[in-house]
Amino acid sequence: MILEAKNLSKIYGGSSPGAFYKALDQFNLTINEGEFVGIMGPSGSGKSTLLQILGTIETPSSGELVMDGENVVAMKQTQLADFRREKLGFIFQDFQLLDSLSIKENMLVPLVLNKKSNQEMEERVKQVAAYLGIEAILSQRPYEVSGGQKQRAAAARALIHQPSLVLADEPTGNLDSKSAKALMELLVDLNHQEQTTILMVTHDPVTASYCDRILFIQDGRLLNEIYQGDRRADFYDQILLVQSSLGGELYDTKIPRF
Amino acid sequence: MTLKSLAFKNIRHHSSSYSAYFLSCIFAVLVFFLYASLLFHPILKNELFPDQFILFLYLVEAIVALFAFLFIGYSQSAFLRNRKQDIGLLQILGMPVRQVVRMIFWENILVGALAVLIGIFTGMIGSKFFFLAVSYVLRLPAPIPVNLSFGSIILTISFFFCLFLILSWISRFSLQKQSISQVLRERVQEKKKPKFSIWFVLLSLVSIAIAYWFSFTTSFAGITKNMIFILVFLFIGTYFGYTQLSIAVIALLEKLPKWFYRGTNLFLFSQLRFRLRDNARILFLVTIFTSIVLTAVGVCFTYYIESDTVGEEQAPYHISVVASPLNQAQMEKKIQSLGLKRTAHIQFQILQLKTTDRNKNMNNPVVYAISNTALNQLLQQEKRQKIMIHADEVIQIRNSGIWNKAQQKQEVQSFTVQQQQESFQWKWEKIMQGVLFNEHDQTRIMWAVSDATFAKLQKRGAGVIPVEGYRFSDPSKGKVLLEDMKKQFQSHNMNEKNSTGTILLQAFFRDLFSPLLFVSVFIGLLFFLAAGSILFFRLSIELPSERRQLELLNKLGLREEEANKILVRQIKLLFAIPFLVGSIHSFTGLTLFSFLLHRPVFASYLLVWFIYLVLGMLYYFWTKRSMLHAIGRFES
Repeated sequence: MILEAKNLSKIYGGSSPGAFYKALDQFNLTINEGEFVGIMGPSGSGKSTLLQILGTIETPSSGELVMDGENVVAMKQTQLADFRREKLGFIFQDFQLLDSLSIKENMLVPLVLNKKSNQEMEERVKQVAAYLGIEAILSQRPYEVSGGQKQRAAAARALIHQPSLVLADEPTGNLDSKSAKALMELLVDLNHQEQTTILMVTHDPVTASYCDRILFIQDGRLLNEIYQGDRRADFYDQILLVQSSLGGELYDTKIPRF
Repeated sequence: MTLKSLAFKNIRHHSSSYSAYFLSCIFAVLVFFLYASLLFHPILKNELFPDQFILFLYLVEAIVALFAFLFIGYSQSAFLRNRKQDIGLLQILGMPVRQVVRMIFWENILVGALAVLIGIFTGMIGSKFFFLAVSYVLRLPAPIPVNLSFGSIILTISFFFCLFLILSWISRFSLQKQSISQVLRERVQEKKKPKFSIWFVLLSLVSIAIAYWFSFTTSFAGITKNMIFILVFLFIGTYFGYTQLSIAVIALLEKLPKWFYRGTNLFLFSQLRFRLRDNARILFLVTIFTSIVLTAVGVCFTYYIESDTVGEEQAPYHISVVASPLNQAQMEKKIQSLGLKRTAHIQFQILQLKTTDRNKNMNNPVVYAISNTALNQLLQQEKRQKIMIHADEVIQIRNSGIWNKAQQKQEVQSFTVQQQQESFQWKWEKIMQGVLFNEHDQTRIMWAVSDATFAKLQKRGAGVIPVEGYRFSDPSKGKVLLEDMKKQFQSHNMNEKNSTGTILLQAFFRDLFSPLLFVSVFIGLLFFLAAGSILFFRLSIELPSERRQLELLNKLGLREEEANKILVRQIKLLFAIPFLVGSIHSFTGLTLFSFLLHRPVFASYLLVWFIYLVLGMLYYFWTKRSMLHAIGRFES
C-alpha cells in the first residue's frame, strides 16, 4: 500500500458560520503500489482539492493521510518539502516548465534539489529521455518545442527521480488528441514496466480509459468506483455511462483555446 | 547543475527586466562610493572643510544608503511577485523555503556583485571629476587630489553585501505558502471593475487645492509652520487623485461614446482603468519623486545663480555699521584710502528703550526706535512711498526678507515703552515689512515714532546708537573695508556682527546653496533613475498579461501595429502622468521656496525642468523599445 487516506475533509472559509464550504467530506482512498488510478468528477467536485492534499500542498482540515509509510499530516513545512522532493512527481495541465532552463535542465531540477552527483544526473537524463523519446530536444528551450513534447518533458521531470507516486493534473488538457494518446500510452507503459504508481485527475473519458481504476467524486464524496476490464473500449463506454448517470451537463466541456 | 547555476540561469532569463534595476543599482553604488571616498579622504581632516559640510556628507551617505535599501527592497519584492509561478513550482517540486531563500540570495549576490564592481570601477574613474566638482563648489584653493582609499571600497562592498543578505532574509516572509497552491489552482477570478467614491474624489481635489493655496500664500516666515501641512495635503490629494479621480475621469470619458469608441481608445482606457488603480501607489511614488527632484534641484539651482541678487536684496548696503568705534572723519579717510566711490550713504540714530509689551516686540524687552525722518530716508533709498507718523502713533518695522514687502494694518493696539521711570504709550496700527536696511540685531525689529516724540525720548536720556550704511560703485572692493571694520570691532572688544554687508550675505547664500545644489543633483539623478526603473519594472511585470490581451485582439482582427500602439500609449501615459503632475507640484513648490526672490524666476526652473524632460524622454524611449522588443520575442 503506497497511499492510505482516511476520512479526509477539507473545509474552506470556516471562520464565519454559514460561509464555509466543504470541498472534501470524509473521503477515503487507498492506492496500492503499481496502480494507475484516475479521479473524475464535475467542476467543483473536490478533485483538485484532493490532488492538492495528496500532493501535500494543502493540509486537510481533518483526517489521516499516510503515504509510503509516513504520516504526512503531522509533518512540518520543511519536512513536507523534503517529502515532495523525494517521494512525489508532478505533471500539470499547463506543463509548468521553467522558461529560463533548457528541456534537459528542466528534467534535472528534481535531481538538483536532491543533490545527486553529476554522473547520476547524466545517466538518468539519458535513460528517461530515451524512454520518452525526447533526446532530440534536450538542449532546446520550452518555448521552442510543441505541446506534446513539453508534456513529455514534464513527465520526464516527474519520473527522473523515481518517485513513489506520480500525481498528474489533467495531463492531456492542453494537448491535441494525437499527442494525448501518445502520452497516455507512455504512461501506461511506464506504469506496467517500472511499476510506477500514478494518480491522475481528468475529466476526459478517453484519457481516463487508460487507468486501471477510476474514482468518481461529487460534492467532495466518493460516488462510484469502476475497474478496467479486458478491453479499453468497454471501459470507455462504462465511464460514459457513469458520467451520464451523474448528470453529464455538470461536466466541464473543453474550453476552446485561441 | 547546482543551485548557483540555477540562480545564474534565472538572471540570464530575466535579464531584460533586470536591466533597469541593474542600472539603478550601479548608480546607487556609484553615488554611495563617491561620497564614501570623500568621507574617507585624508583631506577632510584639513581645516578648510566646515564641520557642517562633513555632517552634510554623512547625511547624504545615509540618504543614499536608506534609498538603496528601499529601492532594492522594492525591486526584489516586485521580482518575487513576478516570478511567483516559477518559485511556487520549485516549492512544489520539493525545494524548501530555506533553499529558495538561498537561491534568491545567490541571484541577488550575482547581480549585486556585478553592480558593485561596475559601480566602484566607474566611481574610481569618476572620483577625479567628482573631487574637482566638490573643490569648485566649495571654492577650494586647490582641487582635492584623487585618493583611492581602501576604506571606501570596503565600506561600499560590505554595505551592499549586508543589504543583499538582509533583503534575501526578508524575502523568506513574502514566500508564503500561498504561492505554491496558486500553481495548481485554476486561474484567479476576474478582477472587479474599479469604482470610485465621489467623496474621495472631492477629498482629493480639495486637498490639492488647499495645498496649492497654502504654498502660494505662505510667507517665508510661515514655511516651517505650514510645510508639514502642505506636504500632508499634497500627499493625500495626489494619492486619492490616482486611486479615485483617475477612475472618475475615465468614467466621464465613457460618457462620450463618440470619443470613447473611436479607434483603440476603448481598449486603452478599459485597460488603463485597471492600470491606474493597480499602479496607484507606483504612480504616486514616481510623482512624489519627480516633485522632489524638480523642486529641490530647481530651488537650489535658482538660488545658486541668483545668490548675488538675493544677497543684494537682503542686505542693500555694501557695508553697514552699528555703533561704529570710528568717527566720521576716520571712516571717511578709510574710504578714501581704498579708493572707493560712494553711490549712497545713509546715517541715522536708533534709541534704545525698554518695554513691558515684550510679546508685541518679538519677545524682546529691548526696543529700538527710529525717527520718522530716518524711516523716510530709508524708504526713499528703497524707492518706497514716504510716510507721515502722528505724534501719538508708532509703526513697527519688520526689516527682514523673511517677511513680505508690504505695509499692513491691524486692529489698533497700544504699545508702551519705558525710559527710566517714565512710561510712554502710543497707538500701534501699522506694520511695515520688507528689507529697508541691512539686518543687524538692532535693526531687525524697529519702531518708528514721530520726530517730536523721538526728540522727547532723546531728551529723557535714552541711549543713542549711531547707524550708517554705504553703497559703492565697485562693491568687490568693499570687502577689504568690511574685513577692516570687523577687525576694528574686535580690537575694541565689540561684537563684530555690528558690521555687515552685501558680500557677506551673498557669500552666505552661495555657501549654502552650492553644496545643496551639488547634492540635490546627485540625489535627484538617483531618484530619477529609481522612478524610471520602477515604471520599467511595473511594465515588465505586466507584460505577460498584456501579451495575452494583445494576442487576443490580434486574433479578433486588430492589426499588430495597432495592438502595439495600445501598449505604447499605455507606456506613454504611465510616464507622462507622473511627470505632468510632478511638474505642477514642483511649480507650486518653487513659488513657495522662491520667496526671497520676490519675483518669479522661472528661467532657471525651466532649464532644470527641460533637462529632466529630456532625460525622462530618453528613459521612456528606452523602456518603449525594450517592451516592444520583449513582446515581439514571445510572439510566435
